[in-house]
Amino acid sequence: MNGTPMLQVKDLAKRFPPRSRDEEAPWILADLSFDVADGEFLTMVGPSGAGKSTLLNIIAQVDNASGGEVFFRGQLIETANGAGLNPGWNCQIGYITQDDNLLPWRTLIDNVTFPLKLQGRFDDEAKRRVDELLRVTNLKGFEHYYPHELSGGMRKRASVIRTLAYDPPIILMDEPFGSVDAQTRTQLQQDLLRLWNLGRKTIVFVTHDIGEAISLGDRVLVLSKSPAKIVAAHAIGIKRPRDLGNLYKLDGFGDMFEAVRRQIQ
Amino acid sequence: MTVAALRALPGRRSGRRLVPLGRIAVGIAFLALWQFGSNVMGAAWLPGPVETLLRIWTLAVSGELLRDTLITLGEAALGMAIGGAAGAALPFLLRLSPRLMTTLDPLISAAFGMPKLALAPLFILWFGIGITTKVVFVASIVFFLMFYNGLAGILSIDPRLVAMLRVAGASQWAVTREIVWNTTKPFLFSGLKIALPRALSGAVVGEFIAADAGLGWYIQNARSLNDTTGVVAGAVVVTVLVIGVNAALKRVQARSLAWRPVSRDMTI
Repeated sequence: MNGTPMLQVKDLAKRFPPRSRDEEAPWILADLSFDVADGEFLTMVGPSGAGKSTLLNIIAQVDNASGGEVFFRGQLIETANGAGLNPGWNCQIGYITQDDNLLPWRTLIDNVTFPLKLQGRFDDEAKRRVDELLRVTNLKGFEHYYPHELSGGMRKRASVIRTLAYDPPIILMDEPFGSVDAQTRTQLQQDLLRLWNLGRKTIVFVTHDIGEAISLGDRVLVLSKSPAKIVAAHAIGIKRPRDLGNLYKLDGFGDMFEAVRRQIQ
Repeated sequence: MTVAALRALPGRRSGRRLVPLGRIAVGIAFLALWQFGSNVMGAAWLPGPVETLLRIWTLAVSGELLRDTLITLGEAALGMAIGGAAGAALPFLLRLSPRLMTTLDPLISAAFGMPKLALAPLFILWFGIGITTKVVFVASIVFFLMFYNGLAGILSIDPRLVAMLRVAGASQWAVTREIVWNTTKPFLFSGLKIALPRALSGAVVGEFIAADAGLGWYIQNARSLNDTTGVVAGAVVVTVLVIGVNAALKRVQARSLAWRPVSRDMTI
């Protein structure tokens, strides 16, 4: 493995066009810099409205930056005055958002395999992988259901494996489990860790839930209020595989939680 | 309680069976009322169901029914094919250029507001009294119905779905085919639901004004001869056509929109 990080964010800045002429638009992001190593599960925690979604939108190239640079495997993929957006950077950057964004007119299996078919990569190996993902997430038997016939948790799992199925080297996750109940949430987090263990992909997971950030990540970056700045970084030493139901009983979990909570404020 | 148990509940079962029976009962009541009205007013003012059916039968045997029906249907279908298709296609083009959409909006609103019947004399002057006039008339009506429904569909596209698909590697064209088309389809069906009966009635009204064949011409001709049975028979045939077209549309719609939670039991 070479020393180049999977993803580098350098001095990233963003503000949206002003609402009126005599008003200065506020900076959402300012001078934000961090690296993500190959195979790392990075979590970023920050208060609501810190610009977390904006950050991921820029990395995924759904939105453009106002300043700074983004490098993918050492290659410059985004500058403030760069060329047009290339969402997903040629299918190299997966993006799982807060909404499941399943196509309501396609069945579960069609939703999961749709990116593969778009990319012309739906071969036997991909079929095997999809089958494995369905099995691990307990979605087998529901392949031919439409999204509205599935529970919220099932839709979330479907949206996660839709991205895992086409196997991008890095996946961005924007509070993917924000809208489900606490119990389902823990289950989904456990599923995610199990899926992650299969391939140890690079993940950037953004959340406002401190417990979630500590439970899932190898490293936690703590973001301040808008404009978002990194105020602290914590390496999480908890060994894997992790049993999420009992993590809070571990020595140091409470202290870490408290430290992060203070840093956010 | 399980779903199966709920389905087995007596109220629901017999309720479902009652619907066709209820429809037949309403039909019979309507026919009885019609006959009663005819008896009270006199057959010359309101011909009863029996005389009307006999007239339709006579027309069917003579071949006039088929000829006039085909002409009216043909005008409606051609008008739909031209005006309806153009109206449905335009929102897809306007989606590519928001500026063009803003520019055309007042123009289209004004054209929509203009009563097409008032233009009929011009249409006759330009296109004669043949079927062209009726086709243009129908097209000018259904164009707007399909356009506004299609536009509502285009405007309801979820940008989050578009972003998701683009990240997963979809080209602009793939996005159009997948999201734009599937989002707009239910709206186009709603448009058809209104436009198809309007196309038929448009053709009939067009024939009232100037024609030498077709169901509208037949009704108009019967009126000028004080043949009320002919007028009612023509109206009944047109109504049956509308019902038939609607039933066909419902079947196509049910198949093509099966993914929607409401499509199975509920239609407007």
